Amino acid sequence: MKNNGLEEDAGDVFQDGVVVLFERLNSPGFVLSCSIKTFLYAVCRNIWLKKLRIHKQIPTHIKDFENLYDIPMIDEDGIVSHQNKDKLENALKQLGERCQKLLESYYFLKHSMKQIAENMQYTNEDNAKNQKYKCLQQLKVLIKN
Amino acid sequence: MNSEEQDIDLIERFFREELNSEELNSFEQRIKTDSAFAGEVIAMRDIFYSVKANARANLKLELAAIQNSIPQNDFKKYNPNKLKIIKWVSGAVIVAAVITGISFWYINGGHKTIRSFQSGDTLEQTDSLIENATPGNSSTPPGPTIIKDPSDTSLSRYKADIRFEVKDPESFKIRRLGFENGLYKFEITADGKTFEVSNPNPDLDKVLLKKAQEGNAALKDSITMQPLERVDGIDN
Repeated sequence: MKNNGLEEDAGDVFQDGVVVLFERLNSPGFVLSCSIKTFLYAVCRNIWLKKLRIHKQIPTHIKDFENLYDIPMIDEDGIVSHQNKDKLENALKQLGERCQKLLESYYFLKHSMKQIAENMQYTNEDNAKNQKYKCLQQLKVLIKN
Repeated sequence: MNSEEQDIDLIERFFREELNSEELNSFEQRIKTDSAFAGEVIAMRDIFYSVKANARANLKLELAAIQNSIPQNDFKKYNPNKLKIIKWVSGAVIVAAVITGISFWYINGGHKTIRSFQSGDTLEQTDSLIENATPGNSSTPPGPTIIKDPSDTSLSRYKADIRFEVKDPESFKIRRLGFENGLYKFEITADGKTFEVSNPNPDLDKVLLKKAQEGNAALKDSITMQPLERVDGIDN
């Protein structure tokens, strides 16, 4: 809020920070080498700096933690083209809830097929894998349409 | 598993960063040489990142719902303006305190530099510090004289006799400023002028008063001179 932000922005950035923490904790090999508070602060700081850069606003007071705990942030927003993004979002909305959950578990949470089979009560890993393939094909069809 | 399924599995493992270096080299080589495979990688890339973005958005919605379920009254609202006001008020108080301190110090003569007197120094008429304080002598200038007799043996141990011609005795005021090299430094105000004199007697004001009363019967009746202010600031 000291850097051109509103209370709503702070809440939004904090939620983004928690999502990043959640993703990192699910990434294999991730080791948290500082307190969660420090990690969250550093992540939120990066997110806010990125937002300021997008809106061409210059930060004034974000000096702390500058080089203390630099979290590399991969900007995934620009990977998918704007045109495809809308199409994909719509296709995902039309995809069944169970398929959405299956793909999210594998792509976002990076769960193994074994974990997914257990969590989603598939009979075995192969069955879950087969189901994932079907969901993917279904999504591709929705994207084309 | 057919070849298409195998390719999808490979591409998914690439995006999940599970390929070893050998697989990764082969994967990159195939993108360069197999345009159909490259097209599939791009399509899968869009799906992969869209699914992730969608999952993030869903997670944020869940977090917002959790946040909204918590009573907001439990939190102190962050008010940056309040912090600004506190900072400004604190700053103003500090500045006011500094100004008051400096004024107090200035009014009380703290800014005056007292000349260092060396042991054995005597006050000379030409000494700018004593200005109108003159060595006592027998020639009596006009006007009331407080210490007028240099033959007064009671003051013989002093480095100098001091004579003041005070037109308005009630304006007489003496302050002690410091102590250095065996001499006490006094600021004496009389007739609207300020003098700095050095004297070995710590109670110069009392001596002057006594002399005024004892030395001249006429003065004794006409002058009721009292030190108006006395500040002890001796640096021993």
